[in-house]
Order: sequence, then structure tokens, then C-alpha cells
Amino acid sequence: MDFPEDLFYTKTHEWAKKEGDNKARIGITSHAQSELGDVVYVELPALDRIVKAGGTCTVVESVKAAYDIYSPVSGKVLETNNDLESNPQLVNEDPYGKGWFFIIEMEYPQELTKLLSNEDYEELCQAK
Amino acid sequence: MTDSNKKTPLYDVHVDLRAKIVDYHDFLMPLQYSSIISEHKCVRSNAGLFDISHMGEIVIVGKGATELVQKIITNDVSNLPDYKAAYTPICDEEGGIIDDIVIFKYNPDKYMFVVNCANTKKDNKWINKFKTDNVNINDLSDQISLLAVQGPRSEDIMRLVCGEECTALSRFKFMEVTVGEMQLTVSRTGYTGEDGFEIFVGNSQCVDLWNILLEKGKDMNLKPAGLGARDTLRLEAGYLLYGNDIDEFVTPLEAGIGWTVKFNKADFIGKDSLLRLKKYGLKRMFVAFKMLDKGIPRTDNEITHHDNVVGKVTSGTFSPSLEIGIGIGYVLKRFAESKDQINIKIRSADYPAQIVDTPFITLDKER
Repeated sequence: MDFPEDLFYTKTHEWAKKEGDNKARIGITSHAQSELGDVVYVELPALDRIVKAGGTCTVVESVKAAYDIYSPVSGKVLETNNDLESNPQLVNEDPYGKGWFFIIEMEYPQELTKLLSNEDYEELCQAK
Repeated sequence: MTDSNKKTPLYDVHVDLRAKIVDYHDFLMPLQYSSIISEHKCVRSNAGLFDISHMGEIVIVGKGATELVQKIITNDVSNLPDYKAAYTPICDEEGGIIDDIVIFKYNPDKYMFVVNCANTKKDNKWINKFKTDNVNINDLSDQISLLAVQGPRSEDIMRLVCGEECTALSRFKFMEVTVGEMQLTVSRTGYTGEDGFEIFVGNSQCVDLWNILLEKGKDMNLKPAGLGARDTLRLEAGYLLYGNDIDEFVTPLEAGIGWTVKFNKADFIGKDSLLRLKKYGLKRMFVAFKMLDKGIPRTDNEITHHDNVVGKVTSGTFSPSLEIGIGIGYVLKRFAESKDQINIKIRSADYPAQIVDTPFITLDKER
């Protein structure tokens, strides 16, 4: 299982990557996609939607069930990964790369520091 | 998962194969080995091997066997040939479904009920309520394992493992066969909508049989398949799942399996209630539907029509074959008959769906 060092993680298995001063790219972790199994549908948030840290912002569907995705940080949705509409399996194949979900313009970039480091997150996954 | 969980003889094999294990009605069972979609597709195009040893087996033997069986089940086995199986509900006095089973008729003095694992104890107790002195009822579920080989290549695999004679079985026929040291009962049955076989084997020989099947089936691309694929396969085929789609609060008439209720035979449990229901009409009816757009129906989603709730989804999934959401459920009868467009309420939004016939997919070979 992969836990890249340059990402921030949530207890609910999302990752956030800081891009520039106030943007963050969001996705779900490799551990999360493995637990979900085949991802068959990602309901992406609307552009310009305001999301709150810890609030539900989108839904991922696997063959078995639907799962809520929580935004790691607060802000406005700037961009969504439209490739997921036709290729939702990118979430399984490349969760930290081509399987990203959306980019947020962060309201409070310091929220990132409240998230888990890769080491803390790895520990959380192994403790389950 | 608790200590009270039951395991099939193949539990360690599943763990070694790195299966994702789930608690299924107290049994620790493989949900998937690689991925539900790839296992599903392997069964549709080649063949899959399932451990379904959690299923229960209750054997009824004796001079009074046929009489007892005819009373318990709604289907009619009086004219069923020896060594043939049949699908049937078991109903209570109100016509509610206690279980849906496959009954194996060896001869008029011996039958085997293959029952849902969650219902084994309940069924055994129910059947014993009507036991007569001239029958013996034995729950052999803890001694018998069950493997299923399903898919278009399954006949080729069975030829190699169990011999040519098994391939001559027609749909729902079964036979006893000896392979090496193993005493097997082989039937041409399954829960996937594909051609396939189910093989009953003693617990002590179950792992050997599994390994032989996988080894000899290798060239036919036989792969282990878990309960996840079993569920998507059965739903595409339009088969009901006890506990989801049917239970004691539903009758076979409402569930779309009225063909398994034989009113022409002598008395059986639930007959009066079912006759009354048939005469006065059903309120709700089984319905199958296919989503017209994205959105995947799930158990307990509401079915709506012009903002009115007209029913409820009992099973729903993403169909790996059709690559769209499919589901089954119950709606007020007139909506089932109208074949109108309906909506499925998914996360408080309405998604359009079309009522369709089952099976959802075209099966090339219905035996």
C-alpha cells in the first residue's frame, strides 16, 4: 500500500495535495479504493460549490455500495476531474494521480496542517 | 467477526488467495478475490468456481417422504423424474415465504432440500413440525460442502474432472459419481444465469475437489469467484435473494414466482391464503428495472412515479454486463403492469428507470 509523503490525509481516507499558495487537489487514498473495490461511478461536486472541511461533498459508488466523500479542507470547487465520468476505474488504477476528484480554492490554507501526515495515516490504516 | 463465525473447509484457501472476507449470515465467506467485475466477466465469458458450502442441506428419507414434501413446498414434485431437482418456495399458512430452495428428488422415498444458509435452522424446525412417523429428517449442512462451476466453459471442465457422463445432464438433472476417492453428487444447476454445475462433496474432500477443479480448469480460464460476483450475476439473471427480495412478508405470487405454486395439487401449507390472494388480486407486484442514466439503485431506495412513492427497491447494483444500474423491487400493481417510466430516489434525487423483463441479459444457452 502506498502513502505518498507530499500529501495530507484525513481519517475518512481522503488525501489533499497543496498546489500553489491556496489550492488543493483532492482524492481518495489507495487504502480507500482497495476497501471499496471496483469504483463504477463518481458523483463530482458542482463547480463553484462551497464546501466545508469534514463536510460531505461527493459520493463514490462501487459495485457493492455508495460511500460519502468528505472534503479535507474548506473552500470553493474550482475544477473537477471529468475523466472520471467515462473512466471511474481510474480511482482504482491511479488513486493519487489520474484518479483525483477535484481542486479546491482553500478558504483557510492552514487547515491542511490539521490533517494527518503520511506516517500517521499509515498507522491508522494498519490499526484497523 | 466473532468466534461464533462459521467457516467452510475452504476458509484457509480463500485467505491464502488473498480474498476479501466478509461475514455472511455468520459464515466467513470470500466477497472477492481480485475484483467483483473481473470475476463476474470471467463467469460470463469462461467459467468461475464458487465455494457455496454455507448453503444448507436437509435430507428427508422414508415411505412418507413424498407426502411430507408435497405438504411443505408449493411446487409439485409428484411427477418430477427421479434424479431431478426443482426450484420451490416453502410458505407459511399465510403464504409468506419461509425460504426458497432447490429440492432434489432421488426417488419418491428420498429428497434433499438445498436451503439458504440463514434459514437452515428455521427450515429444519419448520419441516420437523410436520414430521410423520414414516420419515427421517436429517440436517446434513455441517457435513456437506458445495462448490459451483458456472459459465460457458463449465461443461468442458466437468468433462475433465467428473467424466463424460456428467456433461449429458440436462438442466436441473443430477447424478452421483465417484471420482478417485470422492463420492460426489453433481447437478446441472446454478445461480448465475449461465450454464453450470453444482457439486456436493463431503467436507473432508472439499479442498481436494477445489484444487482439482482449478488445476484442470486452468486451460479453460476457470477462476475463483466470490459472493460479490455471485450477487451481480444472479441479479442480472433476475433471480431473487432471500432476505432481500423475499421473506415471510411476501408471497410467491407477488414475487413474480407464481409459476412455482401449483394450485392443482392436493393440500399444501399456504394454499388457502394464496388462493384467496389470487382471487382478490395482488396489491403490489415484483418489478425489474434498468436505469436510463447514471445512478445505481440500492436496497430500500424508494420507487416514485410523478412524485408519489409507489414502491421500494429490494436489490440493486451496477450491472457489469450492461454497465448501468439495474434493480428489482415491488411497486403497486398497476405500475408494474403499465410498464411506464418510473423513478428511483437515490440520495434524495429522482433518477429515471424503465421497467423491463428479466433476465436483464440475454443468455445464450437456457437448458
